[in-house]
Amino acid sequence: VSSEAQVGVFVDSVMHYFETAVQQPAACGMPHLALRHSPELYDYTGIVRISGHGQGGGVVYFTAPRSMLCVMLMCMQDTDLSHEHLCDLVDTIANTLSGDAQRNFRRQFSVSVLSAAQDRDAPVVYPPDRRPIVIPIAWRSYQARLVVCLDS
Amino acid sequence: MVRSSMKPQPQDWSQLAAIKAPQRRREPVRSAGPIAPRRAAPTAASHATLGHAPAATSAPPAPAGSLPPLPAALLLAIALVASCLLVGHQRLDAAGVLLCAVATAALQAPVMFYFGVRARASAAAAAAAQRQDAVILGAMREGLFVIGRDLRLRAPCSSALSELLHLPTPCGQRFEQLFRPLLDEETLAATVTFLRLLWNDDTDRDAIEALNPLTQVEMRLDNAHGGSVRRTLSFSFRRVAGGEPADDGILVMVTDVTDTALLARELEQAKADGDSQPELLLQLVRSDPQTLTNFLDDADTAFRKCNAVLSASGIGQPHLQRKLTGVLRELHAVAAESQALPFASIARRLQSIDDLLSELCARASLSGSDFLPVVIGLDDLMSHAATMRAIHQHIVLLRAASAALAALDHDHSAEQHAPVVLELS
Repeated sequence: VSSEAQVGVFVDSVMHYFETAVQQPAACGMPHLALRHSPELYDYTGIVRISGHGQGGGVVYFTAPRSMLCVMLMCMQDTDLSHEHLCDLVDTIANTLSGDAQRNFRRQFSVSVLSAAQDRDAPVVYPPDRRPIVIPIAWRSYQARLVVCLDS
Repeated sequence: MVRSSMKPQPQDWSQLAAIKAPQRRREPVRSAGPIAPRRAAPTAASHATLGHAPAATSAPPAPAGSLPPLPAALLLAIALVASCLLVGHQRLDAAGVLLCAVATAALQAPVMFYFGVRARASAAAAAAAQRQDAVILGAMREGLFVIGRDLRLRAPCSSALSELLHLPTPCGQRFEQLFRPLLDEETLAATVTFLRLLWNDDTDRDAIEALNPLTQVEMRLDNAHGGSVRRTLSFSFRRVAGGEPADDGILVMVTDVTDTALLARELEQAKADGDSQPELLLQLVRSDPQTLTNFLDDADTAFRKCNAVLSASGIGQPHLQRKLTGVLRELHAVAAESQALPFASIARRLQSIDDLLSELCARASLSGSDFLPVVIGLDDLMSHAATMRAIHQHIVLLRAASAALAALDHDHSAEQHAPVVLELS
């Protein structure tokens, strides 16, 4: 599967989540490469680790600010805006990404959900010599990021 | 952008009418099912659609307008009994007519019952067949539909068809109307000509089917998020005969072969890259180090500028158009510079990304996800430029080491020869 198709799977997965679970579509921003430094993390981050069967692998994560996640929960008729609940939400998004990746790259990769990190400075380990692709996700007035870094 | 492999050239299409088959009579219809292949072994799909057909073929229905022997005999008997009663009653008064009517009604009751039971059984069989068709058409992964002589898609179509074409209701639409947004004009015109030739009874269908212009065609389909996805679809066409000439159709099966096509392309690309590695190495060895370093520096700056243009804020249409123009301008500058250098690998990558950008320029509206292939292409360009720089640095180091060794050898030989010179002098 080409890189375009691989990244496309994750973009579609996030978009589909907003359409179905949140029931308000998000817009895909302009993708670009993170060249000088690692992409900045927002308050909550759901990380998916992908390891290749032979070679390759990578990391994919969805990172969003607390305010956006709170509004998402409210849209889903959920009034519990506690830290644990927000972690659960990014965990669910990471699980959705993982499920779609498993369905699409079953023969190529094994996929595991790593964590729902809250620490902005939590180090994300990228494959060496790879440039992460940053896809901004615009939802209402909020901005989140989907970051895909695959070593194919 | 539509790419079609095995697409016949326009001159082929002008010659197609010349492909004539030997005159053949219309073969008898073998099945009362909705789709019955005329020749050759039926495909899996046609088997599937004809799942209930063998029952119909084993017991052919009576011709329309004729009655089965038993009810016909009964009706004859009723008529005879009624006539006998009328003649036997001797008088055609009200009682006689009433008696005849009652006798006729009494005798007709089993016949009516027979027809009722038969009609109910037929209706149940038809409903079961319809349900089976619906289940099969709903479960198929391939798109399946039948095109009529008016080039209109007949109902029912398989459920997968609308998913494959990203269209809500393809059934009932004309082929041209349905595929005009998906295919370029040339391919569409070739396909319509192909379909008309398939309908022509005088042409050799096997020869025509081999010229299918949609054997493998790349389409850009709109997705639900306002962007688009590129899929490679394979269409196969087969003329099939129905019970009546009006039921004849062209059975079309659509398969998504995107993964296969991508793998084939990647394999080809990997092979080309593998073949070009020694060539690249030779080109790097032969190139002027200063020119090469300047080019790589300029290219790196341009690639970073492209990325900066892309990462700037704004996702409205004017912003996207401006970003597209900015990236094109930067890459054109690199492409112009690369033409002076003999590096085919980087020129090919630049051309590929330029094609993507030109395709985006032709679009009326853009979305962020449309730029994903451009960003991936940019990443590939940067990786390739980095590889070139690394190889070049190794070559520079090797040259320096070689020069140092040569100098050492020269010094060593000079030391050995020096006393001899002194002695001679």
